[in-house]
Amino acid sequence: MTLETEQLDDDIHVVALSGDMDLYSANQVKESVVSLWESGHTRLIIDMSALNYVDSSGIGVLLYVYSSSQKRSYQVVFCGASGAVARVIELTKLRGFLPLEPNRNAAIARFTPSSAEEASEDIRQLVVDGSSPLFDTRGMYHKEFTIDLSQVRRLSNLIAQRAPQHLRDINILEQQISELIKNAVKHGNKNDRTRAVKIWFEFSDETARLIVEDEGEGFQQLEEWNEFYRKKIECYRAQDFDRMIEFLTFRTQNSTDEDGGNAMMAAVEYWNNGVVFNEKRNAVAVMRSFTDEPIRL
Amino acid sequence: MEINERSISGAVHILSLDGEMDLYNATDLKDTVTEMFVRGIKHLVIDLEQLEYIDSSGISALLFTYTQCRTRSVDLAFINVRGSVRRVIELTSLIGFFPIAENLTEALSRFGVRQG
Repeated sequence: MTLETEQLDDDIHVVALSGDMDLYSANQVKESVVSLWESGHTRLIIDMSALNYVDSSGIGVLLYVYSSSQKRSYQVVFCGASGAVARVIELTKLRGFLPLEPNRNAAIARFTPSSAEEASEDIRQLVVDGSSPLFDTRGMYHKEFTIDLSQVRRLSNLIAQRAPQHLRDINILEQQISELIKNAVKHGNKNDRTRAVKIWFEFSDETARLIVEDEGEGFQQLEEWNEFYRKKIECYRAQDFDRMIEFLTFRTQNSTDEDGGNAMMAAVEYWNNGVVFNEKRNAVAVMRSFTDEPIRL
Repeated sequence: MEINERSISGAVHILSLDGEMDLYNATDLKDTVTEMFVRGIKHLVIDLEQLEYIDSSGISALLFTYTQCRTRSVDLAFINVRGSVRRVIELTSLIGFFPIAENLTEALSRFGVRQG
């Protein structure tokens, strides 16, 4: 058997096999695939169009390649099986299990359009999930306030004072708390002092958690916001600043001149363990960890 | 927040922001720069050295200043962007987008204006 590796566009690598794939050469395939993965190439096509023969050890390696790729969330597509090779795949009931395509072009078409889409997966978003552990109020300090906008900074300051000194981080903590309370007072309660803002918070040496609930209608434009923010970050990453101008300020029909329209953009970056809303969207739960790695919940 | 204006030989106008720019006072900056545009200024420097705090409303006032300068073809630089102000600009993904110069000298050289 001979094995050739070829790089296509979009960082797709083709491993083309020809001849007979038996115990010895099967191992060769495995090694080549693993070495491609180790070099960071996670989109592979195994092209079998020139392969005449495959035995059970060969099938074993195809299975290994496929199941390892699934575990690592890499993409592998197999193509070109014909004749004896197609029959063995048929007999071993692998059709329907392995991602198989008749030829290379069909295999290429199975790959999701590359980097842009993959990259957008790591753009932070607001989440709706009232059952998130971030909404678990056990052990949290809780208090209810009836305040208007004029008291937002003072209250935020009082809360931030409860955090260990090293979390206060040149008063960014206070600023981020105040944005959430301001949203609750202004957009939720419409600055109406008869409506309450409920706050829960908890600080440890390495984490800050906060829940802010208002008595308003809830943030119904959340999905629009996520879409808006995704576009902003895509422009930012592409350094397309001319287009980014359209995505600087999120506005709804209730926005006023005093609204920054950018508060949640910093919030979603600062609160690195998540910004989660309840289903009614009138409560937001946030958490930040101050260790290097965000804590997995 | 205090806003102080000075100019270099009437050509370059420098606004120094001092204190905290937040939801209570961020419109002051918008009002000040709007009035300066009416006067027809051509070069604007916003000095953030003494600004200790900024929130989303303050960021919005900086964005307003930036977009207005762009529309009106006024040269703009933000200088001495440090500490918590820089951090909020970073969190809002505006580093690289905002015309940030290290200091006044760098701002003037970008404008093509000689100091002194």
